Amino acid sequence: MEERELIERAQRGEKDAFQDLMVPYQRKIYSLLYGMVWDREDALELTQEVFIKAYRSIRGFRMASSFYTWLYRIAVNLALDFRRKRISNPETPGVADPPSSGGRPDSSLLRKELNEHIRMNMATLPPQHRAIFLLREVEGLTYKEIARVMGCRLGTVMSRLHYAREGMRQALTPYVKGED
Amino acid sequence: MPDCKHIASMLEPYVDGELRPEERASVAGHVKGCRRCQRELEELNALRGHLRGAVEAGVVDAPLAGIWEGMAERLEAPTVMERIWWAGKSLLYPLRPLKVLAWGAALAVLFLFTYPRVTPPPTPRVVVESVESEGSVMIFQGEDELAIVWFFEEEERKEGMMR
Repeated sequence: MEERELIERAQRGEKDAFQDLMVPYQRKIYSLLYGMVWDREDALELTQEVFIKAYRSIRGFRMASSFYTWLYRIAVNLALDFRRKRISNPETPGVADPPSSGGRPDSSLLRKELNEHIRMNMATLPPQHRAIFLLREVEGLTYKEIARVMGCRLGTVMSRLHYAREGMRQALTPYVKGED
Repeated sequence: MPDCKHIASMLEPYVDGELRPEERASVAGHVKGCRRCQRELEELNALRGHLRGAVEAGVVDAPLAGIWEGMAERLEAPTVMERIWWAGKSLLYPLRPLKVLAWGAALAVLFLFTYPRVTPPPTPRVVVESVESEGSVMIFQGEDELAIVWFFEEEERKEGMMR
C-alpha cells in the first residue's frame, strides 16, 4: 500500500494503518534516538513516545511536506526535550580519557573501547549539533532535509556539522588518523 | 590545479555528496594527487564509519518488535479536546492568509488609535495683528518666528508672553 494512502487512513484514526506506516521507520527513528541518548531503554521509550505523538498529530500533517522529515522533527524535538529534562540529573558522562593504545580497532575489545569513547564524546556536543551530526552521518539526510527537520538555515546546518565533526575528530584522533 | 586550502573547504560537502558535478570532479582530481587531502578524506570517512558502527552496536539487537507491545492502549484516539483542536485547525488552515491579513489590519488600527495619543498635537499658531494698551508695549521678533510682547503698566510692571 502506498505511503500516502496509509497516511490518509491513519489520519482517519486507523491504528493498523498507522502501524504499517511506522514499521519501515522504526529502526531509523530508534537509531537516531539511540545516538541522541545512548541508552537502549531510553531510546525505546522515546521511540514509543515519537509514535504516540505522531499518531496524535498526524491529522495536522500536510502532504505537501515529506513524511519522514516530519517524523524526524518529532523525534529530534522529543530527544531535545528529554535531554533538557535530564540536565538537572548529573548522570551525563564526562569526557573519556584518550585511548591507551593507538591504531584502528581490530579486536572486539578495541571496538568496545572506541564505542564507549564515541558515546562519551558525543555527550559533550551541544544537542543541536549532535542531532545534525547523526542526521547526516548515520541517517544520511541531505543538508536541505536536515535544515527542514531542524527548522534552521542551510548555512547553520553546515557550520554545526563542521563543528561537530571537528570536535569528534579531535577526540577520536588515534582512531581516525590515517597512517602515513 | 586548485590548492589544498580551496579543496579543504569542499571536502566535507564532497563526502556528503553535496557538490555540483564539476566541483566534485575538481575535488576528486585534486585528491588523487594530494596525500594531505587524501588523509583528510580518509579521516572524514573513518569518523563516519566509527559513528555508524557505534550506533549500530546499540541498535543491532534492540527489541524493536517490542515497541508495538502495549501500544494499542497508548495509541488511544485523540481526546475530545484534541479532536476539536485539530478540527478547528483543519478548518482554519485554508484561511491562514486571511488570518495574517486580519492580524495586520488589527495591528494597523491599534497603531492609528495609539499614535496620536503618544504624539502631542502641535501648539496652535497665534497671529497678533494689533495690540491695544494704556501703558508702553515692546515687541521682540526672534528668528524662529517666536514673538515676545511686553506690556508695561503704570502701577506695576507685568510681563506677558505670547507666541
